[in-house]
Amino acid sequence: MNALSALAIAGGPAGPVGDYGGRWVGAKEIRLLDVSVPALYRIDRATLATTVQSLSGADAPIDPYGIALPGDGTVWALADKGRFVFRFSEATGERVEKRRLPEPCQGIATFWTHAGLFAVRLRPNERMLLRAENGALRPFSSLTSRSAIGLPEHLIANLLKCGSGTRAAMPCWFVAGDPEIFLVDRMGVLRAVTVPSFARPSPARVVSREPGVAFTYPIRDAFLIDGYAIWTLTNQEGDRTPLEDGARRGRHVTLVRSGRPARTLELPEEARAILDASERGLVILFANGSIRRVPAP
Amino acid sequence: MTRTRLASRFLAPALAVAAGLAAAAPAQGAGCIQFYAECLVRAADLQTWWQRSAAGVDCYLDTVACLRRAYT
Repeated sequence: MNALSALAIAGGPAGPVGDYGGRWVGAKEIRLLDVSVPALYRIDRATLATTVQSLSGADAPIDPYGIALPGDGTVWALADKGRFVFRFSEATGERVEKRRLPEPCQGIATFWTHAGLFAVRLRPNERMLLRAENGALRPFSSLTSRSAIGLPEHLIANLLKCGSGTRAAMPCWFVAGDPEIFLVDRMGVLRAVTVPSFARPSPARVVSREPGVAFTYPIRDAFLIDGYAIWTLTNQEGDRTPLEDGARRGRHVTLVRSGRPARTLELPEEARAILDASERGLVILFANGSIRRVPAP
Repeated sequence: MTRTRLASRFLAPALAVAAGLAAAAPAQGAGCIQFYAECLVRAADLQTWWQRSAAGVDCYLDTVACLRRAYT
Protein backbone atom coordinates (compact mmCIF):
# COMPACT_ATOMS: atom_id res chain seq x y z
CA MET A 1 0.00 0.00 0.00
CA ASN A 2 1.40 3.41 -0.85
CA ALA A 3 1.06 6.41 1.41
CA LEU A 4 -1.53 8.17 -0.71
CA SER A 5 -3.73 5.11 -0.91
CA ALA A 6 -3.47 4.74 2.86
CA LEU A 7 -4.78 8.27 3.23
CA ALA A 8 -7.78 7.43 1.11
CA ILE A 9 -8.58 4.32 3.12
CA ALA A 10 -8.32 6.30 6.34
CA GLY A 11 -11.43 8.21 5.30
CA GLY A 12 -9.95 11.34 3.78
CA PRO A 13 -10.48 12.43 0.22
CA ALA A 14 -9.60 9.81 -2.32
CA GLY A 15 -5.97 10.17 -3.26
CA PRO A 16 -4.38 9.38 -6.58
CA VAL A 17 -4.88 5.88 -7.91
CA GLY A 18 -1.84 3.81 -7.01
CA ASP A 19 -1.83 0.90 -9.44
CA TYR A 20 -4.67 0.92 -11.94
CA GLY A 21 -6.16 -2.52 -12.41
CA GLY A 22 -9.28 -2.00 -14.49
CA ARG A 23 -12.72 -0.41 -14.39
CA TRP A 24 -16.42 -0.95 -14.73
CA VAL A 25 -18.89 1.75 -15.77
CA GLY A 26 -22.46 1.64 -14.53
CA ALA A 27 -25.39 3.99 -15.01
CA LYS A 28 -24.36 6.33 -12.20
CA GLU A 29 -21.01 5.08 -10.98
CA ILE A 30 -17.57 4.11 -12.18
CA ARG A 31 -15.66 1.49 -10.22
CA LEU A 32 -11.93 1.41 -10.56
CA LEU A 33 -9.61 -1.25 -9.18
CA ASP A 34 -6.42 -0.14 -7.44
CA VAL A 35 -4.44 -3.32 -6.86
CA SER A 36 -1.83 -1.60 -4.70
CA VAL A 37 -4.27 -1.35 -1.76
CA PRO A 38 -6.32 -3.36 -2.91
CA ALA A 39 -9.48 -1.28 -3.18
CA LEU A 40 -12.25 -0.15 -5.46
CA TYR A 41 -12.59 3.56 -6.16
CA ARG A 42 -16.31 4.31 -6.50
CA ILE A 43 -16.66 7.44 -8.59
CA ASP A 44 -19.94 9.29 -9.13
CA ARG A 45 -20.27 9.87 -12.88
CA ALA A 46 -21.99 13.24 -12.42
CA THR A 47 -19.76 14.83 -9.79
CA LEU A 48 -16.62 12.64 -9.78
CA ALA A 49 -17.03 12.46 -5.99
CA THR A 50 -15.06 9.39 -4.95
CA THR A 51 -15.20 6.95 -2.10
CA VAL A 52 -12.75 4.13 -1.59
CA GLN A 53 -13.95 0.64 -0.73
CA SER A 54 -11.31 -1.70 0.60
CA LEU A 55 -11.24 -5.26 -0.72
CA SER A 56 -10.59 -7.80 2.00
CA GLY A 57 -9.85 -11.49 2.18
CA ALA A 58 -7.50 -11.72 -0.79
CA ASP A 59 -4.92 -14.37 0.11
CA ALA A 60 -3.06 -14.00 -3.19
CA PRO A 61 -2.01 -10.89 -5.12
CA ILE A 62 -4.86 -9.42 -7.17
CA ASP A 63 -3.88 -8.99 -10.80
CA PRO A 64 -4.27 -5.66 -12.63
CA TYR A 65 -6.11 -7.58 -15.34
CA GLY A 66 -9.51 -5.90 -15.09
CA ILE A 67 -12.74 -6.37 -13.15
CA ALA A 68 -16.19 -7.65 -13.97
CA LEU A 69 -19.54 -6.89 -12.37
CA PRO A 70 -21.92 -9.33 -14.03
CA GLY A 71 -24.87 -8.38 -11.85
CA ASP A 72 -24.63 -11.16 -9.29
CA GLY A 73 -23.82 -8.78 -6.44
CA THR A 74 -20.11 -9.41 -6.67
CA VAL A 75 -17.00 -7.92 -8.23
CA TRP A 76 -14.82 -10.42 -10.05
CA ALA A 77 -11.04 -10.00 -10.27
CA LEU A 78 -8.21 -12.31 -11.26
CA ALA A 79 -5.44 -13.24 -8.84
CA ASP A 80 -2.09 -15.00 -8.71
CA LYS A 81 -1.15 -14.30 -12.34
CA GLY A 82 -4.52 -15.34 -13.67
CA ARG A 83 -4.78 -18.66 -11.89
CA PHE A 84 -7.75 -17.70 -9.70
CA VAL A 85 -10.92 -15.64 -9.74
CA PHE A 86 -11.82 -13.81 -6.57
CA ARG A 87 -15.39 -12.63 -6.10
CA PHE A 88 -15.86 -9.74 -3.67
CA SER A 89 -19.18 -8.56 -2.27
CA GLU A 90 -20.29 -5.34 -3.95
CA ALA A 91 -21.79 -4.24 -0.64
CA THR A 92 -18.90 -4.91 1.73
CA GLY A 93 -15.80 -5.56 -0.34
CA GLU A 94 -15.28 -8.87 1.46
CA ARG A 95 -14.20 -11.88 -0.53
CA VAL A 96 -17.04 -14.33 -0.93
CA GLU A 97 -15.43 -16.86 -3.25
CA LYS A 98 -12.04 -17.98 -4.49
CA ARG A 99 -12.16 -20.19 -7.57
CA ARG A 100 -9.25 -21.81 -9.40
CA LEU A 101 -9.70 -21.38 -13.12
CA PRO A 102 -9.51 -24.45 -15.36
CA GLU A 103 -6.81 -22.58 -17.30
CA PRO A 104 -4.94 -19.35 -16.48
CA CYS A 105 -6.34 -16.15 -17.96
CA GLN A 106 -4.81 -12.78 -18.81
CA GLY A 107 -7.81 -10.50 -18.41
CA ILE A 108 -11.42 -10.07 -17.36
CA ALA A 109 -14.24 -7.66 -18.23
CA THR A 110 -17.99 -7.39 -17.96
CA PHE A 111 -19.82 -8.62 -21.03
CA TRP A 112 -23.38 -7.58 -20.16
CA THR A 113 -24.61 -10.21 -17.70
CA HIS A 114 -21.50 -12.36 -17.52
CA ALA A 115 -17.80 -12.08 -16.84
CA GLY A 116 -15.70 -12.48 -19.97
CA LEU A 117 -12.27 -14.01 -19.43
CA PHE A 118 -9.35 -13.52 -21.83
CA ALA A 119 -7.47 -16.72 -22.47
CA VAL A 120 -3.71 -17.15 -22.46
CA ARG A 121 -2.92 -18.69 -25.84
CA LEU A 122 0.15 -20.53 -27.07
CA ARG A 123 -1.14 -21.46 -30.50
CA PRO A 124 -2.90 -19.52 -33.26
CA ASN A 125 -6.59 -19.81 -34.13
CA GLU A 126 -7.80 -20.60 -30.62
CA ARG A 127 -10.73 -18.76 -29.07
CA MET A 128 -9.70 -15.80 -26.93
CA LEU A 129 -12.89 -14.86 -25.06
CA LEU A 130 -14.31 -17.35 -22.58
CA ARG A 131 -16.90 -17.45 -19.87
CA ALA A 132 -17.30 -19.74 -16.92
CA GLU A 133 -20.09 -22.30 -17.26
CA ASN A 134 -20.57 -25.29 -14.98
CA GLY A 135 -16.96 -25.39 -13.91
CA ALA A 136 -15.54 -25.07 -17.43
CA LEU A 137 -14.55 -22.16 -19.64
CA ARG A 138 -16.56 -21.89 -22.85
CA PRO A 139 -15.83 -19.59 -25.82
CA PHE A 140 -18.48 -17.00 -26.60
CA SER A 141 -17.05 -15.09 -29.54
CA SER A 142 -15.21 -15.81 -32.77
CA LEU A 143 -12.15 -13.78 -31.76
CA THR A 144 -9.14 -16.09 -32.09
CA SER A 145 -5.46 -16.02 -31.22
CA ARG A 146 -2.89 -14.86 -33.74
CA SER A 147 0.26 -16.47 -35.00
CA ALA A 148 3.78 -15.16 -34.54
CA ILE A 149 7.21 -16.41 -35.50
CA GLY A 150 8.51 -17.36 -32.05
CA LEU A 151 7.23 -18.08 -28.57
CA PRO A 152 8.06 -14.66 -27.04
CA GLU A 153 6.55 -12.98 -30.08
CA HIS A 154 3.49 -15.20 -29.70
CA LEU A 155 3.10 -14.11 -26.08
CA ILE A 156 3.24 -10.46 -27.08
CA ALA A 157 1.02 -10.84 -30.16
CA ASN A 158 -1.79 -12.31 -28.07
CA LEU A 159 -1.97 -9.76 -25.28
CA LEU A 160 -5.64 -8.79 -25.38
CA LYS A 161 -7.55 -5.94 -23.77
CA CYS A 162 -11.18 -4.88 -23.76
CA GLY A 163 -12.55 -1.44 -22.94
CA SER A 164 -15.98 -0.15 -22.05
CA GLY A 165 -18.95 -1.07 -24.20
CA THR A 166 -22.63 -0.43 -24.70
CA ARG A 167 -25.74 -2.58 -24.63
CA ALA A 168 -24.88 -3.62 -28.19
CA ALA A 169 -21.13 -4.23 -28.27
CA MET A 170 -17.83 -4.40 -26.41
CA PRO A 171 -14.55 -3.08 -27.86
CA CYS A 172 -11.52 -5.41 -27.69
CA TRP A 173 -8.08 -5.18 -29.29
CA PHE A 174 -4.74 -6.87 -29.43
CA VAL A 175 -2.19 -4.69 -27.66
CA ALA A 176 0.54 -5.33 -30.22
CA GLY A 177 0.00 -4.87 -33.93
CA ASP A 178 -2.40 -3.00 -36.14
CA PRO A 179 -4.61 -0.18 -34.79
CA GLU A 180 -7.74 -2.25 -35.04
CA ILE A 181 -10.60 -2.59 -32.56
CA PHE A 182 -12.97 -5.54 -32.65
CA LEU A 183 -16.52 -4.77 -31.62
CA VAL A 184 -17.93 -7.93 -30.06
CA ASP A 185 -21.72 -8.07 -30.16
CA ARG A 186 -24.03 -10.07 -27.92
CA MET A 187 -23.94 -13.00 -30.33
CA GLY A 188 -20.13 -12.99 -30.24
CA VAL A 189 -19.90 -11.67 -33.80
CA LEU A 190 -17.00 -9.33 -34.56
CA ARG A 191 -16.85 -6.08 -36.48
CA ALA A 192 -13.37 -4.65 -37.04
CA VAL A 193 -12.83 -0.90 -36.88
CA THR A 194 -9.52 0.69 -37.84
CA VAL A 195 -8.60 3.67 -35.68
CA PRO A 196 -5.94 6.37 -36.06
CA SER A 197 -2.46 5.45 -34.83
CA PHE A 198 0.41 7.61 -33.61
CA ALA A 199 2.80 4.64 -33.44
CA ARG A 200 5.55 3.97 -35.94
CA PRO A 201 7.79 0.89 -36.17
CA SER A 202 10.85 1.05 -33.96
CA PRO A 203 14.17 1.47 -35.81
CA ALA A 204 15.58 -1.00 -33.28
CA ARG A 205 13.61 -3.82 -34.90
CA VAL A 206 16.26 -4.06 -37.62
CA VAL A 207 19.15 -4.72 -35.24
CA SER A 208 17.58 -5.89 -31.98
CA ARG A 209 16.65 -9.46 -31.14
CA GLU A 210 14.38 -8.24 -28.36
CA PRO A 211 10.96 -9.52 -29.48
CA GLY A 212 8.99 -6.52 -28.25
CA VAL A 213 10.47 -4.07 -30.73
CA ALA A 214 9.10 -6.07 -33.65
CA PHE A 215 5.62 -4.69 -32.91
CA THR A 216 3.90 -1.37 -32.47
CA TYR A 217 1.46 -0.75 -29.61
CA PRO A 218 -1.11 1.72 -30.92
CA ILE A 219 -4.05 1.45 -28.49
CA ARG A 220 -4.13 1.81 -24.72
CA ASP A 221 -7.84 2.11 -24.13
CA ALA A 222 -11.18 2.30 -25.91
CA PHE A 223 -14.59 3.52 -24.82
CA LEU A 224 -17.59 2.82 -27.01
CA ILE A 225 -20.48 5.26 -26.88
CA ASP A 226 -23.85 4.77 -28.48
CA GLY A 227 -24.03 4.82 -32.25
CA TYR A 228 -20.74 2.97 -32.69
CA ALA A 229 -18.66 6.02 -31.89
CA ILE A 230 -15.42 5.04 -30.16
CA TRP A 231 -13.06 7.12 -28.09
CA THR A 232 -9.57 5.65 -28.24
CA LEU A 233 -6.54 6.47 -26.14
CA THR A 234 -3.15 6.07 -27.75
CA ASN A 235 -0.49 3.85 -26.28
CA GLN A 236 2.82 4.12 -28.17
CA GLU A 237 3.40 7.44 -29.90
CA GLY A 238 6.33 7.82 -32.24
CA ASP A 239 8.88 5.09 -32.93
CA ARG A 240 9.83 4.08 -29.38
CA THR A 241 7.98 1.03 -28.08
CA PRO A 242 6.78 1.27 -24.47
CA LEU A 243 9.87 -0.43 -23.02
CA GLU A 244 12.41 1.60 -24.97
CA ASP A 245 14.14 4.65 -23.54
CA GLY A 246 12.34 7.83 -24.53
CA ALA A 247 8.99 6.13 -25.05
CA ARG A 248 6.03 8.52 -25.28
CA ARG A 249 2.62 7.10 -24.45
CA GLY A 250 -1.00 8.01 -23.92
CA ARG A 251 -0.97 11.62 -25.07
CA HIS A 252 -3.92 11.67 -27.48
CA VAL A 253 -7.57 10.66 -27.50
CA THR A 254 -9.52 10.34 -30.73
CA LEU A 255 -13.25 10.06 -31.38
CA VAL A 256 -13.88 7.72 -34.30
CA ARG A 257 -17.34 7.72 -35.89
CA SER A 258 -18.47 5.93 -39.01
CA GLY A 259 -18.68 8.26 -41.99
CA ARG A 260 -17.42 11.30 -40.11
CA PRO A 261 -13.91 12.71 -39.65
CA ALA A 262 -12.06 11.65 -36.53
CA ARG A 263 -11.64 14.24 -33.76
CA THR A 264 -8.32 14.14 -31.94
CA LEU A 265 -7.39 15.87 -28.73
CA GLU A 266 -3.88 16.20 -27.32
CA LEU A 267 -3.67 15.57 -23.58
CA PRO A 268 -1.47 17.63 -21.25
CA GLU A 269 0.24 14.55 -19.81
CA GLU A 270 0.33 10.78 -20.17
CA ALA A 271 -3.04 9.12 -19.69
CA ARG A 272 -3.65 5.61 -18.42
CA ALA A 273 -7.33 5.01 -19.13
CA ILE A 274 -10.63 6.49 -20.25
CA LEU A 275 -13.02 6.23 -17.31
CA ASP A 276 -16.04 7.88 -18.92
CA ALA A 277 -16.88 9.43 -22.26
CA SER A 278 -19.54 11.11 -24.34
CA GLU A 279 -19.46 13.22 -27.49
CA ARG A 280 -18.93 16.25 -25.23
CA GLY A 281 -15.92 15.07 -23.30
CA LEU A 282 -14.12 12.46 -21.25
CA VAL A 283 -13.03 11.54 -17.78
CA ILE A 284 -9.39 10.52 -17.90
CA LEU A 285 -7.20 8.62 -15.45
CA PHE A 286 -3.73 10.05 -15.92
CA ALA A 287 -0.53 8.11 -15.37
CA ASN A 288 0.16 10.07 -12.17
CA GLY A 289 -3.05 8.64 -10.68
CA SER A 290 -5.17 11.78 -10.96
CA ILE A 291 -8.68 11.74 -12.44
CA ARG A 292 -9.90 14.76 -14.38
CA ARG A 293 -12.52 15.82 -16.89
CA VAL A 294 -11.33 16.71 -20.37
CA PRO A 295 -13.74 18.55 -22.71
CA ALA A 296 -13.99 17.31 -26.29
CA PRO A 297 -12.59 19.60 -29.00
CA MET B 1 -6.69 -27.27 -18.38
CA THR B 2 -4.45 -29.01 -15.90
CA ARG B 3 -1.02 -27.80 -15.01
CA THR B 4 0.42 -30.88 -16.70
CA ARG B 5 -1.38 -30.16 -19.96
CA LEU B 6 -0.35 -26.54 -19.88
CA ALA B 7 3.23 -27.51 -19.22
CA SER B 8 3.29 -30.01 -22.06
CA ARG B 9 1.92 -27.42 -24.47
CA PHE B 10 4.60 -24.85 -24.00
CA LEU B 11 7.54 -26.07 -21.98
CA ALA B 12 9.42 -27.94 -24.69
CA PRO B 13 9.39 -25.13 -27.28
CA ALA B 14 10.02 -22.61 -24.56
CA LEU B 15 13.11 -24.39 -23.34
CA ALA B 16 14.30 -24.68 -26.92
CA VAL B 17 14.38 -20.90 -27.30
CA ALA B 18 15.43 -20.05 -23.77
CA ALA B 19 19.14 -20.55 -24.10
CA GLY B 20 19.36 -18.43 -27.22
CA LEU B 21 17.25 -15.64 -25.75
CA ALA B 22 19.21 -15.52 -22.54
CA ALA B 23 22.32 -14.81 -24.52
CA ALA B 24 20.81 -12.61 -27.21
CA ALA B 25 18.38 -10.20 -25.58
CA PRO B 26 19.91 -6.75 -25.11
CA ALA B 27 19.47 -4.88 -21.84
CA GLN B 28 17.27 -2.17 -23.34
CA GLY B 29 13.62 -2.95 -23.09
CA ALA B 30 14.14 -6.67 -22.78
CA GLY B 31 13.34 -7.14 -19.11
CA CYS B 32 10.35 -9.42 -19.45
CA ILE B 33 11.83 -11.71 -22.07
CA GLN B 34 15.24 -11.74 -20.42
CA PHE B 35 13.54 -12.76 -17.20
CA TYR B 36 11.58 -15.43 -19.05
CA ALA B 37 14.69 -16.92 -20.57
CA GLU B 38 16.59 -16.95 -17.29
CA CYS B 39 13.58 -18.34 -15.47
CA LEU B 40 13.28 -21.20 -17.95
CA VAL B 41 16.97 -21.97 -17.71
CA ARG B 42 16.61 -22.19 -13.92
CA ALA B 43 13.50 -24.37 -14.34
CA ALA B 44 15.37 -26.71 -16.64
CA ASP B 45 17.95 -27.33 -13.89
CA LEU B 46 15.37 -28.74 -11.48
CA GLN B 47 15.54 -32.42 -10.69
CA THR B 48 12.24 -33.95 -11.75
CA TRP B 49 10.00 -33.50 -14.77
CA TRP B 50 7.16 -32.40 -12.51
CA GLN B 51 9.31 -29.75 -10.81
CA ARG B 52 10.53 -28.51 -14.17
CA SER B 53 7.00 -28.35 -15.57
CA ALA B 54 5.56 -26.54 -12.57
CA ALA B 55 8.41 -24.04 -12.54
CA GLY B 56 8.03 -23.58 -16.29
CA VAL B 57 4.35 -22.70 -15.96
CA ASP B 58 5.27 -20.17 -13.26
CA CYS B 59 7.83 -18.63 -15.62
CA TYR B 60 5.27 -18.39 -18.35
CA LEU B 61 2.57 -16.74 -16.25
CA ASP B 62 5.10 -14.38 -14.67
CA THR B 63 6.13 -13.35 -18.16
CA VAL B 64 2.56 -12.74 -19.30
CA ALA B 65 2.10 -10.55 -16.20
CA CYS B 66 5.33 -8.69 -16.93
CA LEU B 67 4.36 -8.12 -20.57
CA ARG B 68 0.90 -6.88 -19.65
CA ARG B 69 2.39 -4.39 -17.20
CA ALA B 70 4.92 -3.26 -19.76
CA TYR B 71 2.78 -2.86 -22.82
CA THR B 72 -0.76 -2.08 -21.67
